[in-house]
Amino acid sequence: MISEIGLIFLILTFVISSFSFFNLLFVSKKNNHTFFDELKFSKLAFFFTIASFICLSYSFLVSDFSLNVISKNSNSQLPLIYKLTGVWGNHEGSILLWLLVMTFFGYLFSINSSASADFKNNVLRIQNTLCFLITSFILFTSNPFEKTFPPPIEGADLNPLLQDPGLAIHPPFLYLGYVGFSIIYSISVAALSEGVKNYFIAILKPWVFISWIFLTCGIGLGSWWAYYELGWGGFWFWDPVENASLLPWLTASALLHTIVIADKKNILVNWTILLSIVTFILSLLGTFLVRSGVLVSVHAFANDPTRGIYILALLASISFFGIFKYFNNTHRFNRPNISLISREGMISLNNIFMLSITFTILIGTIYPLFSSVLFNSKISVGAPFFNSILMPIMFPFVIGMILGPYIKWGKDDLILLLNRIKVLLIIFVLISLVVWYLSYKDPVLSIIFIILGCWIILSSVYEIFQFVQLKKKIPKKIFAQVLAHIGIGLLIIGATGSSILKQEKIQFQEIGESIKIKNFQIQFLGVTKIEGPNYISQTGNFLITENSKKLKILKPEKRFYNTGKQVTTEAAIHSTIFGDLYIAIGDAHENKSQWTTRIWFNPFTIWIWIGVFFLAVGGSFSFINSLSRKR
Amino acid sequence: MKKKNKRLITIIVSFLLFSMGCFIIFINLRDNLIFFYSPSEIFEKEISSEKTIRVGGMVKEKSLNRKIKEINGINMEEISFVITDFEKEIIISYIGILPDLFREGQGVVVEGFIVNKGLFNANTVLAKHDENYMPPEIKDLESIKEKANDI
Repeated sequence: MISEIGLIFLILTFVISSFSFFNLLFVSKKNNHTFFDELKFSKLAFFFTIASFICLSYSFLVSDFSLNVISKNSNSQLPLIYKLTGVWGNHEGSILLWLLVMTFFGYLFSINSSASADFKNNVLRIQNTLCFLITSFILFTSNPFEKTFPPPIEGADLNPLLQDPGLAIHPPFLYLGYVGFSIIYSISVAALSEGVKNYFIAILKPWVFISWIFLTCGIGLGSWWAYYELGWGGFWFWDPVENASLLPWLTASALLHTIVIADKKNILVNWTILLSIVTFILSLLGTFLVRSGVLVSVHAFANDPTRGIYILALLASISFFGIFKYFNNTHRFNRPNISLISREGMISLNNIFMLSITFTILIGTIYPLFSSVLFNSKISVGAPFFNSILMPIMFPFVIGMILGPYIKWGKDDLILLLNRIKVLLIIFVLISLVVWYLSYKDPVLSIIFIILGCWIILSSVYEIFQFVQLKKKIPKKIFAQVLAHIGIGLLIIGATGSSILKQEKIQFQEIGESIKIKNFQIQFLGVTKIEGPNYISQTGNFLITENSKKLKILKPEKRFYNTGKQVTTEAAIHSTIFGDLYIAIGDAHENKSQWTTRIWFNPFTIWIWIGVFFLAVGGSFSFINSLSRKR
Repeated sequence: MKKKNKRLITIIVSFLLFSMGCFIIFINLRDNLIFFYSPSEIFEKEISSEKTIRVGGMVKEKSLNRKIKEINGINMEEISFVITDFEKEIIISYIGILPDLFREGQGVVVEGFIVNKGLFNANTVLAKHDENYMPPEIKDLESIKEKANDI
């Protein structure tokens, strides 16, 4: 009964948003406010979608197995939280969540933005049209309310890999980021139709920041989840699915920088619009790659070709519409004269680097797909490709990142600049010597990257220090930039530590046997069998001793899920600021006294997560700043 | 006139830089492609033993073998199993923990180097992520298997 109501609400969303779609197609020039009030449509679409989503969630909670999705992705034995998070632990539900977020952003825009009523109407017409396209995709190819007959008595299980608190937070955050870019697309395309008046940049700004913050958190959370759940000892594998999320993040990061100059100097406005459109296109491309089943991944819930074709058609038409509007409405600004040694120049340089990285990752991600379609050859692109291209780009990129904030607007002189930051340069030499002294035995590449990371952090701290020295109040936007740059510095250090400096030991460990890694002694105490709510766990007990001081017992698990007959690995991690001790347990030998164990020492991994946190906090300062300026 | 020249130079320089970038990307891409082969293709084609490749097929029933081997003074478990495409077979040797979803009689993809035509040294055993999910490469093999069963 509830599920039918959910379906009705979904159809209502479809009907409401279809008005906007036809309005955009046929009546787009002159608005008729009395009938086509897009603000009302947005509100209604949001309320209908949320009602539909609540109905689906309720059906999941009460395990209504007459619904196809629930019978395939849930189970009455599931703990309550996974019944609820299971709503988006499958293709249909997750697309409904996607729609919910999209209508949510439309709703937020309708009640919050300072734009004129006319402009709002134009933006929401495009946003509602996007909602219409997604709703049609849900209704025609991925209806979560589809019935199965006869209803099974018990459902299959939620994929055990997804039975983790990570599922509760990673997808919603990621979607808030991905789909947040839809409103940026709508604002930009609407601005194009209006003939690009600059005031729209101020309207666009907060949405760029908020979406970027969520996407940053979403990617960070996903990476953290993979790190502790998969038991592979790494946090990033250059997997196509990971790359797909990184692409819009990179262009959005480029956008964060240009929108500042577009707002302040009124230059690169067209470029800002193009970046906004491209960012949303890349979000859609990511969705296509992940959801169409062309990629082998935990995210590919379904392998239904009609869905893939439908998403591809959506991607093509939305991209075409945006790009078409762009090329029909540009050349309205004078070409700016930007000197390289100026803040504008450095930000342009940042954009060139960001886009080169995006382009590289895009090629590496989609080339295998093209070649499998065109040449029928089965290939994959390995991590060495990404590392060999991106590592050299990192050097000039980081140098620009360090100098950029110290370079003046308009025109600056390199000699004067170096003179201004001579204290900082001396600090750089000192820290480099210290890092080199502490780690001269490590590979040269890792030393260089850690030094670069330290440089970024120190130069950012020095920026703040200058304000403190002059007893000036630190502006929010400087604070935001400093925090975000420190975040990148920490990320570089963390990523270098946990990739180049990683130590790994795989062995057959006898009960009682000790293994040494770094300063740690890891003694294997044995395996106990523990019963969980819907699984049986074989829990290894490892006594960790550091410099002959007993620290704690780590308990990596191997879980056998009863319903799906599936096994998952739960790694055990001991985190310190210098590195993570990471243990995963494998299979037992026939005599049950020896087990395969895999022990890693991942230096500085914790700084990756702290770096992501810094990025998010930095973004939040920008967000608050962009809000307060408006009023 | 001067302004026009300047713009022309900018366009030419950016075009050159862009093509150089593309060139570097594609050279690197070519060097880092990992090709996928079936056991039969390993026997048919000349494949360098220095290049990382992927091999995929079904894990033959009752072919999984574990033995303890001492390497650099550490006890390691050497795992070996046979991958088949129902025409040719290849022995895979691997040291490490098998992925959670590894099972005899199911599809698997391994990454590593060829030792000789019948033996492969795997660095990584790639797991499927889900009980019901099949990588496209293996899906092809599934249909072969069905055919084999029909006969």
